[in-house]
Amino acid sequence: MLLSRAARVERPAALALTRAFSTGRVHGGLKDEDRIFTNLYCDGSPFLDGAMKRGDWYRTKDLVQLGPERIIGEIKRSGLRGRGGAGFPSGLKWSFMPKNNTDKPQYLVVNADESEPGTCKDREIMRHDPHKLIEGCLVAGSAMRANAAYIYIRGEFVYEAAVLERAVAEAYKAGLLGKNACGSGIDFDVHVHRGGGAYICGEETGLIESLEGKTGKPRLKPPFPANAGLYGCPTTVTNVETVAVSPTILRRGGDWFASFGRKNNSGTKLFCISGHVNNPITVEEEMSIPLRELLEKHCGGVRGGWDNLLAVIPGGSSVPVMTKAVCDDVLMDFDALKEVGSGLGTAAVTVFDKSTDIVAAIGRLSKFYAHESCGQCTPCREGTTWMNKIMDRMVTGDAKLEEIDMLYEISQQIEGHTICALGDAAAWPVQGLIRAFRPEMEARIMKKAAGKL
Amino acid sequence: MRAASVQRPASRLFRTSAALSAGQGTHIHRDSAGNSESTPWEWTPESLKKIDMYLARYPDTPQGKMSAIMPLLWVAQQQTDEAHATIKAKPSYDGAFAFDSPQGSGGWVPLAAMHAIADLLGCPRMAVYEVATFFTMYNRNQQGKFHIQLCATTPCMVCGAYDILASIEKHLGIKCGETTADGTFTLTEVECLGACVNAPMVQINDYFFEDLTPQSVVKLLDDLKAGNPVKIGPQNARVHSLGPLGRTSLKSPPKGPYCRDLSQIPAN
Repeated sequence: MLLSRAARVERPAALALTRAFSTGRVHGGLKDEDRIFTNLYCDGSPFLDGAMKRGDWYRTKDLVQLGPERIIGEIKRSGLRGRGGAGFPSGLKWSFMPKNNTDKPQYLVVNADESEPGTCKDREIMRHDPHKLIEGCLVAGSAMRANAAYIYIRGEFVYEAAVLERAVAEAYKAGLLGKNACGSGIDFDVHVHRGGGAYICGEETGLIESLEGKTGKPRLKPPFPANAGLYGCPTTVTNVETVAVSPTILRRGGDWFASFGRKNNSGTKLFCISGHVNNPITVEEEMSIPLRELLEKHCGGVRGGWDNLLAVIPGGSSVPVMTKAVCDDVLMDFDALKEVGSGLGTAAVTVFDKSTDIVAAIGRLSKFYAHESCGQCTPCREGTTWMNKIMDRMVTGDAKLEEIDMLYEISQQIEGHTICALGDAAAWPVQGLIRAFRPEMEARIMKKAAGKL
Repeated sequence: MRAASVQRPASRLFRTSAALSAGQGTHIHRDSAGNSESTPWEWTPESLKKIDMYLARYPDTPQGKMSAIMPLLWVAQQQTDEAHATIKAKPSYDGAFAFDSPQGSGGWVPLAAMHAIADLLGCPRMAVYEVATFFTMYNRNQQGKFHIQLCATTPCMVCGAYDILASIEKHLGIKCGETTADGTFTLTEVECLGACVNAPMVQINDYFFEDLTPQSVVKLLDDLKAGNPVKIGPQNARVHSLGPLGRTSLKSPPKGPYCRDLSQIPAN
């Protein structure tokens, strides 16, 4: 917000949607023929018959037989960045797996532990288009020279796990998985593993620990999973959406995928928009679509109109909240959101209108992180609880003014001082709140002190 | 102990501690009439079949077998789920289905079952205790017949989750972490269940019930109690993740299979 806004010039009202970050082309308006998730709304059967009609498992054998180098080269060309939140370039990540390992098995682990508040995109893939994911496991797995894939799905997704189990069983029966999968000459297994309701298992090493039958406490890195992951073997952990889009990218071409979105932010993306919009929905759109256009085109606008907008969390609970002034023209991609001090995360957009008690809304997130901290690192275990307690007092106005700075300081003491990113994720929403809504917090404390609350 | 047990007399101390931890309970096991080391535990033939299926998914090494702790805890919860048969669940759209057998969220894991799992996998009992206490979905005491898990994290909260909570509490006369006197309902506040587009929502045993209002949730609970059919998913006119105003994309049917000429891909 602070970086690029100053350079903005006044525009005629009709062009209000032009963005400060625009590189010329207006992004958004993805056409149906360019959508990857064609069964997002379950218009056809989620299972093999429907999936094959839609073009899944079409020439999969040829895709696998392209070989790791060409698959990874094509994924690199597409510019695909991990869809789980961190946005790491996928082709590069896949290439970290050992190439000449003969003594240990290698694993692909699919992170389907979708628990980031606001996020419900992978759910739609798993319950309505499971074969996209399963075929992706084979294709991506073969590119990583993996022998098997484990799909770690959160325990609460009971229905989604049942659909996946059924789809995997179908794929085995049809010879698409198992020995000589799809006739490609390689053996590949896919297994579903249900979690037990812990947000921390969405962290890659916490997930591996849990998959090994232990408590989901993240490991110190290095060694990175690509060297020593599941059972000490080379492992790559990757998000459902990243894996599920890979066969389509290969079929249609890396250049096709890269033609959407701005440079380094390419592709299409599932957005799930919740909160105060007229039409909360999960929808596939082009990357770099302006936030306002996303909300007005797909979500029926903000409840009560654009001027009734208070704030937006653009990428799941871990990223800082943005005020309306930022929302007016920000683009939905990794770099643009980073530039305004937030992040694309999982592209889970939560919208708050002016009726929202924003302090309470962020305070509830502090409660979430305090509950979900695994307890391994002291700054996170203790700090998230402290922040939760202080935030509770901020909500009622019972805090002192100087505690706002104290809260910020505590959040900075957590951030970067823990094994995994949960500490950072707990700190950022609070920091975002203080940066964007400090006057609101101060007013409440002073009102309470004056006996007016 | 995760939430108030139905077998346990609800002492004031217990209720207070459970409520304080939002119904997630403590990690301590306390022996009770139906849940102690000496309580008999037998795997049913169906459970044994599932156990074999799960064991085949992991490497046949001591370390690999440990991976089966989580699936086996689920099998135990499936075996103890007595409520499943009484829920007449109806799918809410074409292509969706209701479960023909319990999936586990409606059951619980007695201490004796944890011991059976440790024996079967040849791992220390402590390894099973650790997993069973770390994850919130393993119920270490019997829950009410219907375990209501209300999502109250921010996206649900701003859509009125606490109004739903108040409505449930008023209707059932219990607070979070408590079970009704007749053992029918247990109420727990949980963190994000991943159906944010359909907020506010609750999970009851194996099913998600979404897009609730303070009125529709009461009707839902009454229907469950009376054994009436209940619709899974959105409790209003919505269909899965499509918004109430309908679809904004995918208006044309998908094109059939397509693949470009793969020989164009250069070797890197």
